[in-house]
Amino acid sequence: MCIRTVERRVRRILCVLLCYTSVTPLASDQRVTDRQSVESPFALPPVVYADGEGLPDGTGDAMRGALVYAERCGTCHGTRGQGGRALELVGEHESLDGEWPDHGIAARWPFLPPLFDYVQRAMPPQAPGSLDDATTWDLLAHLLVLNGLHEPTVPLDTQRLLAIRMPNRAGFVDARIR
Amino acid sequence: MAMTDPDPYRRRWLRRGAAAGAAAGLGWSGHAPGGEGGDESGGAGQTRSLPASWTLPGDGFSNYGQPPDDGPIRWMSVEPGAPGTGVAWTPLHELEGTLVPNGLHFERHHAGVPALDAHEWRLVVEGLVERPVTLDLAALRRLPRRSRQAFIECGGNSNALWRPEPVQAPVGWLHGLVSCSEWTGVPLRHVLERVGVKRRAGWLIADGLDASGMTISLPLATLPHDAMIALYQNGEPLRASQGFPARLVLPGIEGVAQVKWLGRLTLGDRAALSRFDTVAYTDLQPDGTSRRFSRTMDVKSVITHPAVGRAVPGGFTEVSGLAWSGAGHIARVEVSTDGGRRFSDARLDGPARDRAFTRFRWPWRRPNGSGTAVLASRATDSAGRVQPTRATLLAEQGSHAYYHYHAITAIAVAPDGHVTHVHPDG
Repeated sequence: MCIRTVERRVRRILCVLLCYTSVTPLASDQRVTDRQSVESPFALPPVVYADGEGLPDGTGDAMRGALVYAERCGTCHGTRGQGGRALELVGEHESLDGEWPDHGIAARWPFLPPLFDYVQRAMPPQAPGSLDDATTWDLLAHLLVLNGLHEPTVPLDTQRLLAIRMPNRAGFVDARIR
Repeated sequence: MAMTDPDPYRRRWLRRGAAAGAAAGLGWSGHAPGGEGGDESGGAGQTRSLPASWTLPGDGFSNYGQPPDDGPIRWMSVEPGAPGTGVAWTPLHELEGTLVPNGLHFERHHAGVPALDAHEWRLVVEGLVERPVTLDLAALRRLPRRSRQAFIECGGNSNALWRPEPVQAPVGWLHGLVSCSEWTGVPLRHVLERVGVKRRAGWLIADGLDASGMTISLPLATLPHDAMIALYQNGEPLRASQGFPARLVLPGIEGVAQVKWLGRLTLGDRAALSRFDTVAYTDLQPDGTSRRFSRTMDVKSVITHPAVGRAVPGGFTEVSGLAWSGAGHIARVEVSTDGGRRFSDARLDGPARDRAFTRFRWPWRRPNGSGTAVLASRATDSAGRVQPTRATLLAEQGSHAYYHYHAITAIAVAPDGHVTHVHPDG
């Protein structure tokens, strides 16, 4: 990022912060205060960032993951991540600029921690939130093996997961911020 | 109060209205009682009965009014095996004005509509803030509110138009993933101000409480100044389908970012780069790269009347439609009858509100014996953005962008009045 861009961004952010602080002050009983903070009956897991912050620790076994996949995922996504009625998980074309752009994990996902988070929270659609950390780690190991991004016999841990450079990571470009 | 006789004015107004109506071909066919055949005794009238509604008391009250049985409905498209995942389109071609009734607002859900308990609901505000807070609904409801009209448009609206073949469906089923409501809620800035956003924070990360894994990252620099945590839609508490008890409303921003069933706001020094920041809701460009954080909605208009599926009678027809922009108010809408070669200005009906629907109207007299007309509308917003032609949009974006289709749309009206959707420039 060039220095001008950085400057521009900093200016914008400061401008926004000024906007937030320049509104008419609220009366004390209208404020959000610490006293208004209440206990929650739930505990949301932390936000998972692309760099791995928030990702639960674990170790995935691709063989175990294959069994989980067959039981929980294959019906919709196809036996090897292709040919199901749900989105393909393994791309067939490996290109994004042709007539049939690739939708596989390798081509579309730039980072793996958000994939972990998405699978754990949203999959399978009939039972979201049912995959515990260990199961999700196993499943992710299998998905990465299917996509040729991980060796089936090597345990997948946090360090190895973060070391995988997704092929299309450079393919995402920020829109011009108006 | 002293009353003046309004009669002379009333008569003059009625005369003028009748003349204008006749000039526009709208004249009512007069049925003066007994006029025909000069039967002064009213004999013809005796053979007619009173309207039934004059002879019976009407129905009683209801606790909540219902639309007529044959009133407008949404069409839906859902994923097999996941009945809550899919879309429901607003029937734009069956509605008038600029506000969409709550029951007809479009819906796009990624994992169905969760039933949240108002007593157990919490909003967590944390991350790079001085005073993290967990608010319950009672605390949120005590904060000062603002109301404003705003459209919400799904990033995937109109995406059937990326296809080379025009789809023969009424405008609502093509462009109906956009609606406009009056939203009421707590200004987001009040909440952020009071938790104390740290200087390092540049991103707002919002989590939804549905089961879709919804996490969205928004640069603070692009947040609308009037972003709100909405509690009401068109005057009534949010419905479950619109995010009860609270959702983000970010006027002008892509629908997916206006997170429904809001559960957490995290101030971060970077984006989470979640699925909804990268894999989905990004625009695939012709060179294979994907444009991300393209959240501001473009300037756009669609003709809602006439519409595919309804024949246009000869003579006078009012062409009307809706225009909106995520960058300001609608400054101008033009209508063409020759597929976009020549345009003339339409009338903007009512105030052109900032980041809300504007209705435009254009009187059209179709002479008998004329050929096929190709109607198109083109909007310009207060930021100077002009709705592009389809050819321009495809040249810039390719045909796989999937989201943010906003090119000029055209319908052909054949001499017999039959309406079809066409791509005017190929």
